[in-house]
Amino acid sequence: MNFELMLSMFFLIISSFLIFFSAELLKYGPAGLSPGLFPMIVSTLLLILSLFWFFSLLKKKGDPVNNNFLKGLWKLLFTIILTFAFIFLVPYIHFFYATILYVFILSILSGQKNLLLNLIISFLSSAVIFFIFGKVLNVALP
Amino acid sequence: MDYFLSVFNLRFLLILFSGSLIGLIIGALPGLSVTMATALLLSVTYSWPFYDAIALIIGVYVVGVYSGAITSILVNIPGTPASVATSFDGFPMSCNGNSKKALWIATVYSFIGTVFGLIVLSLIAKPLSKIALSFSPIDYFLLAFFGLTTVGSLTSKSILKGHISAFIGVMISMVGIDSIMGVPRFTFGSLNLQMGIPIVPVLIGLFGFSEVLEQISSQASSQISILNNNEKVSFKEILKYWKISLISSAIGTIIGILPGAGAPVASLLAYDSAKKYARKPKIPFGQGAPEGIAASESANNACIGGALVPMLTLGIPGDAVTAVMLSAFYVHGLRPGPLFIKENPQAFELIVLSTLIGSFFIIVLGFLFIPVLSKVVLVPKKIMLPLIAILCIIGAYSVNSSLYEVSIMTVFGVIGFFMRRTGFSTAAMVLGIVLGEMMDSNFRRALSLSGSVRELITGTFLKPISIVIIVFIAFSIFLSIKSKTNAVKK
Repeated sequence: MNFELMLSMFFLIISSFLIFFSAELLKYGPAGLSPGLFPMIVSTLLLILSLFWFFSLLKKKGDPVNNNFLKGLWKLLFTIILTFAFIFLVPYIHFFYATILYVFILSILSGQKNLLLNLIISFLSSAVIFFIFGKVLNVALP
Repeated sequence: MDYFLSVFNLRFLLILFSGSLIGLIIGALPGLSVTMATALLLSVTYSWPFYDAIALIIGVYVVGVYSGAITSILVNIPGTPASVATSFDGFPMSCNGNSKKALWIATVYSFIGTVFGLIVLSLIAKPLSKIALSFSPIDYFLLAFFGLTTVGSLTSKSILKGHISAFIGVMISMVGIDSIMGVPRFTFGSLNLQMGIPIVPVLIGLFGFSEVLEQISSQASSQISILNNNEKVSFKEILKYWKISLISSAIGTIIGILPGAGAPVASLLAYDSAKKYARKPKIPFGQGAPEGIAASESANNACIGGALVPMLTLGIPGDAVTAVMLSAFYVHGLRPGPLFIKENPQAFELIVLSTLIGSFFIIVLGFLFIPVLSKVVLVPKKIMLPLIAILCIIGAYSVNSSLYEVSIMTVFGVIGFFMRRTGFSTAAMVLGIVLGEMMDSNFRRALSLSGSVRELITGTFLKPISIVIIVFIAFSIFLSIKSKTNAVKK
């Protein structure tokens, strides 16, 4: 199936949901001040654009799946999981130790092969960040 | 004589310079806002003499707005929302080995923009403030709508995808408690979402974190940007874009005068007008056009002078920072308003002079730090990317000291990553987010004031300000369609 066609269908579904939720808000307040009025207008415009896109794509021949879309997807997934793991771990272990782990693993993903050098850089950079932001600038750290 | 001695003594200049240095650091770091810094300084300077307190705050304000361009250019993370448009061409310019030139363009045109805004403040503050006061809700709505018509210029590929991105951005801006009726919208029962989706983590995610994700996934080169050791910066070449700078400064000043519009709107509108003015740039917009940086930085710094106009002449803050400054005035027993300039001419002149000296400090700090900052690009990607990721996390966290904002940042980083891969414009989405709330609240206010849609439409066409903005909208749409038609023909 045409990749762009799938995208347009995705936006058709999204805009339909937005219209539904906007309609729920129309019951609040007088018509001119209703919190659902402007979202309804915008989501309707979004639906119109998505329909236009969908029908214009139907006329075209099918294109193969966007190969660029899939490039490096496993690294992306790993980075996202790593980031959420960092967010989860920070309240339990100190920000400093969580940062060392995060920088260490992310450096490996970025192509750092020398593990010892990686560990030293992770430690030093985390220490510098912690000192500058936490102590010098007094910025709130996780 | 005593008055001038109070301005030009070393102590005053040192305080102003200290404020500028603080502004340089705060503005460059994503998540740390100039507003936050000035609010903190308000409590610090509570017991200081008025002139010293204002000098410190103005130093932070003037240089803080400029320094947002630094991280925009070097690592594609806007330091402040006002620097988003700078990243469109600043970062590509840095990737092309021209980071020093990009930083100098940002520096010089921030200076020019600030001075332009000051000239306007000094000469025509009073009549301009009267025009600003006559802006009604429908005029604010039309102004925001005008901003949305510039979406076409932010999207190089598909104008349809650009508008979809913008409308999604508008919908995102409406998440949270409705400002007029107090009803939760699109919160799905979440207490966090009731606070709305804060713009700073969104910006950091869409621009900064998505760049990290893209670089890690693609691993095309060993450095994020290239340092060109042979890069020579010619000031004659940098000053070539003065015409665009003047137009952008005018836009920035006008937008700055309008309370609530703000520097992000000004820089995006100025960027769009630069695209229309510079029809055949040597380097296309979005790929490292110096004109783009000149336009954005002139506009966002010209906003400073503009924002001071309603604050000093009407007592109405032009933006968040001037709202804090207004508090500083009240704390020190001064009352900005229609009689302020007449009753306190020395205070007014001091504010103008402090801002002028602060603008010179932009050049001084640029001269001192650009050679050092431009070397940041030498750091290998495998070291730089994790550090940028941590910077994104810290920046998002520091907004509200909450991991919720970090989650928002991560989610929008993923969204930004997929948007790039599928040809959608993150810039258009940001435009929608920035303008969405302004459009929504003013549209409903206008409708409730006029009583019916028919009365609203007929009333709009009788007002000169509304007619002028409608003409601009029509012109903008016409030019967008024309430029896309020409692009298709080529």
